[in-house]
Amino acid sequence: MANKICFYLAEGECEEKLLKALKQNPPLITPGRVKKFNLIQNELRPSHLMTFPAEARVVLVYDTDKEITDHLRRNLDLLNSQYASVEVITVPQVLNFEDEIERSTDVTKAQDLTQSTNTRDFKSAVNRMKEADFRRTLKRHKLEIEKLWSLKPPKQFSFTKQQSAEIKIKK
Amino acid sequence: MILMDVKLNHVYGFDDFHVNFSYPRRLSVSLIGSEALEERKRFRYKKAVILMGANATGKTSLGRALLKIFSSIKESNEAILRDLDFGEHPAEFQVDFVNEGFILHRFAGVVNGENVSIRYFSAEIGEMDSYEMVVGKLADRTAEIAGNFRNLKALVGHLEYRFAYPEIESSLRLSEVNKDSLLKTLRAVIGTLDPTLTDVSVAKDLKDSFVIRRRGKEIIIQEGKLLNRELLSSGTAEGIDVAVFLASMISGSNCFYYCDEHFSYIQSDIEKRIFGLMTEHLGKNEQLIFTTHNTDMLDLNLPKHTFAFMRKEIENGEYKVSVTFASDYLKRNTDSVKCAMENDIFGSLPDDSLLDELEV
Repeated sequence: MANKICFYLAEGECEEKLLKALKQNPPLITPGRVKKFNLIQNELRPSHLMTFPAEARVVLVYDTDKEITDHLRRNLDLLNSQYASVEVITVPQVLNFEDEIERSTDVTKAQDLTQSTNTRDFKSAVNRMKEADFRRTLKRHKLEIEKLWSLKPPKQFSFTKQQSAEIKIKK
Repeated sequence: MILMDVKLNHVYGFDDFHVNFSYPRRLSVSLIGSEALEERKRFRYKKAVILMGANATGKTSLGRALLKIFSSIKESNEAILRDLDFGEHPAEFQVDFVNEGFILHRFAGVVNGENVSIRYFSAEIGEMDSYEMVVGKLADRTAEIAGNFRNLKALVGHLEYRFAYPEIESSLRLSEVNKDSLLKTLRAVIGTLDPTLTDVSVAKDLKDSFVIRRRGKEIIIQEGKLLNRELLSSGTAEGIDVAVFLASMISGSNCFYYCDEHFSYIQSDIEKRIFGLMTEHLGKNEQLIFTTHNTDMLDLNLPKHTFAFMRKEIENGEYKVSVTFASDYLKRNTDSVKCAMENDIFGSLPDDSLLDELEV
């Protein structure tokens, strides 16, 4: 167990649930606090930055399905500025949560994971699940952690890298 | 007295709540010393527990429920248990504990409004028995007590416990504390918290009273009540409660202690030091549960099973409280409990997302 403080800023509730599920024993990702924060739509405020201790690791998990990058750029500038002496890890989802699930598990449509009829129901079902149950569901659908968050972000997000390898725990 | 296991259902905020205080393997080295029943080395119990958790996770309520359950036995009064039930479902509880001798007691009950039904089980603790082995031997003796709490008390024996609650006990219970120990402890604790308060003495004219003098003014602790509290800082006033609690530990024996957030106004290093003194004075067959919000306590060099975390999770639309111990997750000596807690490995950190709405 690495003795380093780690914060995850997750795009939405589903990403929050996914990160918490992957943290379950045995952990597949570096343990850390998970907070829902949409970095594409919102900017970090001083009260957020204050909570990151020096040398903490801040992992940003965000979608890349919209061509809006202003806030993300500003957030990266803030995190890399003198206001926060933290290590920033970017984990873009290509293009979003559903795509990542389809890529890393055996389902062809993300909604099949929860036997939902549409994406909206799928997301609600994921959000309602307990973290341990979601982890079991992912396991049942043969989650391959190497394939999760494995692609480079699209061109408009090329100012960020896919750094998910930094948080995945190697077997 | 040693608490081994607690189950609560529909009691205060607890539904299907369970916590166990035994641990599986003997530790080679521990600053707490032996954590086993005297002369029963395999009957291991967590002697000191630092209980943490976000607000409203039930740290105080757990102590309150235990106080009601134990008081009902000590005072042979079933009416005390009626306070456990204030919901739509009957309150259910079960506690396993060791009191005098080598007997494991199990006291269970269902409280439904005015109706209280209780059950009692016991088993002898053999020389090489662990808690789990004795549980397998528990024999139902409910018929012997016939619903009478006096019979129950006769079987269980006299219970020794001390609960310290800022919110429940506004006055200090001095009667059970050795006066010399208290005077010594008051001088040390209060003098540490406020170096100008060095003159602490027993009041000559007042019964069960102490006087703290500073620049011609007298602060009196009389019959368990702190008079003119306004003359003291919040931390020093709290220090008096702490001193009484510590003195009771120094002078007590075979006691179960529950110290609930008594250090809100006290500097972190002092809290750590006083906790260390408390554990040092924990005698054989005693136990301390210590609740706090101070994460610096996690830096203390103690066995991982000492650190417990309460968490409240939503399950099928209802909040459920559970307890996890650091030892459930951290196996290596080099793992930092504080770091693990800050990384929310125990799922005990509060969700502050509602506060985001207040961002400028």
